Amino acid sequence: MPMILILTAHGDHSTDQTIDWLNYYNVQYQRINIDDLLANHTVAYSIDHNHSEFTIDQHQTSDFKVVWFRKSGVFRSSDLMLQSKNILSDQLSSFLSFEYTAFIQALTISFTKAKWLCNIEAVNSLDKTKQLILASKAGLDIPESLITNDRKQAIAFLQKLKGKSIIKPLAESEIFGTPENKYSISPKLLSKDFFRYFKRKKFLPSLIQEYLEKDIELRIFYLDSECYAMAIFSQLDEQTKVDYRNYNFKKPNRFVPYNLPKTILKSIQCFMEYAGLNTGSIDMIKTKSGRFVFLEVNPKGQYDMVSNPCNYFLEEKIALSLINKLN
Amino acid sequence: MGNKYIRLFACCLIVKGNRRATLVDLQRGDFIFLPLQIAELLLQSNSVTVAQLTSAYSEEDAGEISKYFDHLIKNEYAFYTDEPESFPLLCLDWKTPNHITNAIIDYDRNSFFNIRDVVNQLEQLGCATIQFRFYDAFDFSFLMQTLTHVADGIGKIRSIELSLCYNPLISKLQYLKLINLFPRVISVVIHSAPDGYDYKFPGSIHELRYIQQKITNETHCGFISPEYFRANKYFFTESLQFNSCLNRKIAVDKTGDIKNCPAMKHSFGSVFSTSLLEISHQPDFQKVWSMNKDKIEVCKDCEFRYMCTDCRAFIPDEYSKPAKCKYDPYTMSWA
Repeated sequence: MPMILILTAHGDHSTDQTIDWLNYYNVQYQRINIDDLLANHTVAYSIDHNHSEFTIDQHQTSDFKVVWFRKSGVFRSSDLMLQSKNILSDQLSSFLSFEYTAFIQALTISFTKAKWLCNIEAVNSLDKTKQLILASKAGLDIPESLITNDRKQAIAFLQKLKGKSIIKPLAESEIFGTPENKYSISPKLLSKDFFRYFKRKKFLPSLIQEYLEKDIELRIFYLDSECYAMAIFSQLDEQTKVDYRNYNFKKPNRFVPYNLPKTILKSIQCFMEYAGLNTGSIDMIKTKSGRFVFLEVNPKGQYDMVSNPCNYFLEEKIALSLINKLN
Repeated sequence: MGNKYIRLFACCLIVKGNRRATLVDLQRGDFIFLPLQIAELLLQSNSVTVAQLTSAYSEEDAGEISKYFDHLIKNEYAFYTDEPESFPLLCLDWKTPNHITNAIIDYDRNSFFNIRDVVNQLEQLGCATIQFRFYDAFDFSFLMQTLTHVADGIGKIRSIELSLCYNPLISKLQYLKLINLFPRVISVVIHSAPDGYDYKFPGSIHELRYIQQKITNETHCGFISPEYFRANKYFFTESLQFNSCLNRKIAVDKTGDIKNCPAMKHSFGSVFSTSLLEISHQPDFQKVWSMNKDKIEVCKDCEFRYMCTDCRAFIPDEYSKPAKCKYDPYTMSWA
């Protein structure tokens, strides 16, 4: 009976590589790709007066000792959702989506004995603003930020910052549109007078932050109190100056291992504890003036992009972390 | 910049040869040459500032050195910093969870071992990459059957390279469709073709190539040339410790003999009588895995040694450099 459950998505290469190490250490595990949970697995949650039991295939969820939440599947692109698309102006798919979320919630809390690597509940309760507040509480420097729906407020904030500012999505960066007309919603530099010439007085609440003059960007993979840091020399390239994710594939940014100062390490540990996370990918900036500024943590962030350039063997370390949690 | 430190990016590594060094860029997959003196200076550069590094030199030499450093900075091989201790060296470990990482299966019209059975065994061994080399033309259905079998497996085999003999009955379009159908097939090379052809799939590593070279048996392999150099972290770190061609490789030649490489004489057994698992665990079979370039005569003095794929099939004796290598590191020239 496998004691480790891996919740991930179809085709996730990082999961494959970690599983190779679980095989190497000869431990049993069950992999479930959340995107084909409903199509390829049998789930049943029976509840009566004195008993409740959630089963996936032949396993009771309460029997899993360790659960690794690697990746959530994209329900939006499941068969069920695609069939319901455009029916009754998407009211059906919206209903289905809520139902699905409720089901995943029930699944999540059925792992009564489990130790988590990346606790789903902690992930779900952590938005960008809460992250900034917790980081600051943990002693980390954060960018000065304002979320507002009001032009006057925005103008005043930009004036206060004096220097440059950026606007970025409160939730996730996204690319959408049609193949011919793509819109990329990602951090963008704001001109000094951006809001002065803005026609609307009110708009959707937007996140504005001070622009940080980068020396380097840091991407830190956190696992069980250890930090594996990588420096990204994105300021050497105009294309990647504001956001290294505007990848330059011809001449990729330099990615090298980095030693964080001890005080920063301590604050990161403290922050992750506040956030209830034992793993995550943390984005920071080291400014030209020597500030280490916390931007955000992505609990399910890609570790491959740190592990590979820095040769950290994070896939093996994650496998060992899961195995340790069994004992 | 005199009181700063010059630091190579951790992915740029110096390999000293007999007369010159290479600076191997593992991230961008390239290399440049460096004079040995510059390489020496860079190797000490963690602990001393640029001013200290050049202090022992005449003004003229120091000027030359600074020019060299500026060139390295401009081309993003190095950077100046006040805190060299924040930028550790790259860990050069190489390890793998898989007992066997790659395999070659040779086949021609006289072969009669069961390919699918060999594939099953490789999958059990954790082998991620298989190269199939067919020396005679086979029909399309044989190819389909073999690949379907791999696709229906447990998913351990992640990439497949096909080297196939030209068959006038199979069109380019069929091969392209095949690659689309089986994304694990990353490369198809059609040899003995009437014309050359080269197609790379946009945005992916997949390729279809036709070459005119006639390949009738395993002796076509083992050539050493800069066009085969590979500057990447996986290959480089593996080469530091292990044989860059044969480490964790297993091969089945066209008669079904199990070998380190199909072109090597020694057979450890036959697929008809023994398993790949059993052979792959024999110390004798694994002996060649640890034959790294530092143990090979001439290669150990070569500035290309961790970028170049070794060959142990065509050599006069055990510790000789590959017979098909025409480079001489003592004169820095290709014969």
